[in-house]
Amino acid sequence: MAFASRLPGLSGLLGAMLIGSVCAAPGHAEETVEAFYQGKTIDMIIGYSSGGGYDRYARLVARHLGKYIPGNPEIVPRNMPGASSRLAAGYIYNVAPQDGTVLGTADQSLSVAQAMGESLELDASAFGYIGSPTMENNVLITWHTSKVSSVDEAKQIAIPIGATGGSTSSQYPSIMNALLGTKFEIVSGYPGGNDINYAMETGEVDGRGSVNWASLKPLGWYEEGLINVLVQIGLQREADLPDVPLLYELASTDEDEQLLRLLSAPTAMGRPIFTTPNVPEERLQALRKAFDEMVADPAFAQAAADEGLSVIPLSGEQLQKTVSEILATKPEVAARLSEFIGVSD
Amino acid sequence: MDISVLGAASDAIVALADPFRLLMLGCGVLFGLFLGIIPGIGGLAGMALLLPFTFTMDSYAAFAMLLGMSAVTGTSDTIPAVLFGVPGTAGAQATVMDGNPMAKNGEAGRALSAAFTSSLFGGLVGALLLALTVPVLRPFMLYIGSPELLGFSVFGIAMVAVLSGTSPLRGLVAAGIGVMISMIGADPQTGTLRYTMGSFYLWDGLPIVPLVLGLFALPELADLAIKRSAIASESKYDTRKGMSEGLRDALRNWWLVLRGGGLGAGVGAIPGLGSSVVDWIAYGWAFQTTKGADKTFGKGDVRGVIAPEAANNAITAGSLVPTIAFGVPGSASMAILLSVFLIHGLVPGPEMLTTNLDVTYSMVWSIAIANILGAGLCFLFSGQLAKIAVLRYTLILPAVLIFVYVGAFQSSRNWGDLYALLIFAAVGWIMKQLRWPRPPLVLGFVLGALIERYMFISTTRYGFEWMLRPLVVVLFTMAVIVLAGPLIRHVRALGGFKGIASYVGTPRLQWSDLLYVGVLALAGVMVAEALQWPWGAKVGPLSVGILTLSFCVLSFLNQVFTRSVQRARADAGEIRQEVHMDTSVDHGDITLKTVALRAARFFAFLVLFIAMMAVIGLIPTVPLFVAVFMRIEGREKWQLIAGYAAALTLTVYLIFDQLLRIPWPQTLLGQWFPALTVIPSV
Repeated sequence: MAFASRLPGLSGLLGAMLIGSVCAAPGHAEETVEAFYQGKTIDMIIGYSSGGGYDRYARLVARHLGKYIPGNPEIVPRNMPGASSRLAAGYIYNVAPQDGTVLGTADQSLSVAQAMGESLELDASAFGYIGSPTMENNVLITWHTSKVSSVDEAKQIAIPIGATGGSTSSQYPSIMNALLGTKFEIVSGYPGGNDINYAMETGEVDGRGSVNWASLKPLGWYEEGLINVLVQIGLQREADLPDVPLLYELASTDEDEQLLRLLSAPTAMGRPIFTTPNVPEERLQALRKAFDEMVADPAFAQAAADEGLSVIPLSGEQLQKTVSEILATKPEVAARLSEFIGVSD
Repeated sequence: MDISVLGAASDAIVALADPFRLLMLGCGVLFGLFLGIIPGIGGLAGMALLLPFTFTMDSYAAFAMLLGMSAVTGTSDTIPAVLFGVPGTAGAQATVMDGNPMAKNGEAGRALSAAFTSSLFGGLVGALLLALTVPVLRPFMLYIGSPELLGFSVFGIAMVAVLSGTSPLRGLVAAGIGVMISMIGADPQTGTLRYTMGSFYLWDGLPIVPLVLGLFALPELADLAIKRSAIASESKYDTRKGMSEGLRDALRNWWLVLRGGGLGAGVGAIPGLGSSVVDWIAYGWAFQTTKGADKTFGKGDVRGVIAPEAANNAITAGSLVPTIAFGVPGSASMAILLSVFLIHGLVPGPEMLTTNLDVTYSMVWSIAIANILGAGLCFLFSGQLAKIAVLRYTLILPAVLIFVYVGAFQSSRNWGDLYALLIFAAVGWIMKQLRWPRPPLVLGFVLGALIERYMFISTTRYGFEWMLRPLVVVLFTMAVIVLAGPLIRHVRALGGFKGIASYVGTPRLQWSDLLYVGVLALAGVMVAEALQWPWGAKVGPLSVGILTLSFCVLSFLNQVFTRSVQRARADAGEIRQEVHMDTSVDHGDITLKTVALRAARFFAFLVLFIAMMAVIGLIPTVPLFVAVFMRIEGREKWQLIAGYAAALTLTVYLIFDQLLRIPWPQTLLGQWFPALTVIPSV
């Protein structure tokens, strides 16, 4: 691989020396990236249990990314579920070795939680972001038999909306009720999204407070006209939902728009793959470059398609920028959002 | 039956008869059997591990492998349950109740072969029920909403009355504590973090694996270490005789097997209930409906093995119902199976029951064939496996203990798992010694959270109208009958209320009453902490907490005031022996002081294990712990220790480091000498 022969850049060298002195692990600075990763194993820490969206994307990346990293390290996926991935994020931030041998994936809304002042024991901007294989908006839907098929109708007619409690599915409709004047009656407590789908079919609820568009599409419900998509939550519209408004576009004041943008920002993080803080710059760049090469490779796209996963890549730089923007939110906006959706204990 | 349905069923078996698909089914079965034996690992881990292999297969082969695997974990999980009292998965807890006493009586071979035979037929009943009901599934299921799910959960928890045996009040207290523990973590209404004690570990609630292994497995192992002998002193039958006895037992109790299978399939179809309670419900039902059960259950009655084993193998077929018909995964492993549907472009819902009916029937066939293969294989080995029971305890304990530890640790891969395991081990052992029934605690733990959830959904959505829905009325009535039956029988046995009053005598305190103080304090603290939460988060824990406190006080008064009379009458031989719903404690002629000393020593070994793991990591701990334990406890020869330790270390390394890819926690050794981190788990 071409990159392997490149000598470490000056900034990388300085960075690596700095790390070397901090970690008391000399020798890193002289090593090329290829020599470092040769024969090494990278751990991919997954903050969720097997089978969910984050897990499937992280495992897909783990299977392929090694081929594009100089030295072709093996990447081993390891699940460390708990506390909406905060356990894994804390492990990657505080415990894992900071030499570029640990990758991980965790909740896309970590940085928003940090902006709202939640005690996370980490700084989300200090992670080295590698990239995200996908980015999909969330949507709020109603079943085709519901009297409500648009946000305007939702302001007139009260309907029960299913939610899972303490998640986006209860946050979106309750904030819409507060800011936009919709009349959703939130029925919270369903164990999972599929249970809400079922409750829509039996007529127990009219709609679902939040669902990831990527996980909804394969069911074919939208094309068959079984559901109405009222609003999408994200920073740009989905290509196949050009006429569905974004949540922040519905705000009537600047203040509300800022709040709704912050609420929508996590979707712009996709399923982020990142490494520990303080990884030598040359290795971080090598990992990012490998990620970009991987997502551009048709073989990767094919492998994703075989698993029924869509690929809409985001680069590490993009993710890093999004995180910085989220953390730069005005404190009063973050505090206001926290009043709506903050975790209490 | 519809011709098209029969056509689809026969198309499906033809499709499945392809050699590659059958081979994949066979691989799945072997893997499932293997996972079922290891405590704490079951179908969920299997699904996750096998999933990547299915990406390149066609849908028939993919489902054959995954369902083949998950259908048989409930077959092999019996092996450690019977032999060591360690449930191989949460579905084998009730099997311990009579299976382990049978092994202690030298009937391990009989228990195992009876279990495998009932597993086989239970699994087939489940598959058959699924096959028959597929055409009518969707319309029927549409009647089941949250109020009905609440009804099922309430019916399940009513079984507490049966599973409390002679001590209904203590059973209620245990169930109440179980419910309170289930409320740890972010609550489903407001997202308030309840009882997390500031730790991320408890955010998603306490995982069930360390709870079950702590409550049931470690106390059995502790008593083995206290008794210091083999599990069984001698085998009652030779290999072949034991096998044929068990086979005959299962066939003789065919009606129990059929009922168990039906129950398993039914419970499996209800999202959230699943294998961790179905075995208890089946056990309770068998206890209530079989002749003479109140004298023999818990002491090694083969019927107490047959019922739960038939039920837990029918679960897989049952849990496919909501998955196929509506895309609602009944369990975590079904959630993974659901992704396989989508990978192969299959959409759960009406299509699975019409255009893709042959795929659905191929699943039914896969489950049926897997059960035959799995039970057949286990049955062949059951006679040989039974011989393990007569090995000396120093050979058994180190390996089983290590598997219990690592099995618990792999559930969240966190130190919290090990602390929970130790805490519940102490709780379980004390409960066992002081004759508090443990099953109600598990039932409360699994069902309490569901009841809270569905109670909220039902009342927010329907007000109080939901109570009038026909199925809800039926389920609540059944729950009352289940609850009242044993209670009335109990009161009657004591001679009515007048009879109970005659038991009141001079109050007398015992050291064991300290447990009441502990329970009161725990429930009190939990209630006090709940007071400050928002209404949606506190109403559940407050009401259950206050009920638990009252039952606890009642039970305490009952004990203190009736003790003197009870003892006098027992001495006079006036009190009829009734069953205590738990494995009995029999320390033989060992004195109380020795029991306490040996228990403390065993507990010290448990703590030592954790300490060693923190310092040098899990994998190096295995040989070291084995050496220390076998040398100190058993004065085993060094040669034997070395071989044993090497084999066990390699096994643990391959399974947990290489196969399950557990992220090991940081160790002190690794911090002091970073170079040593090349050793796995350091």
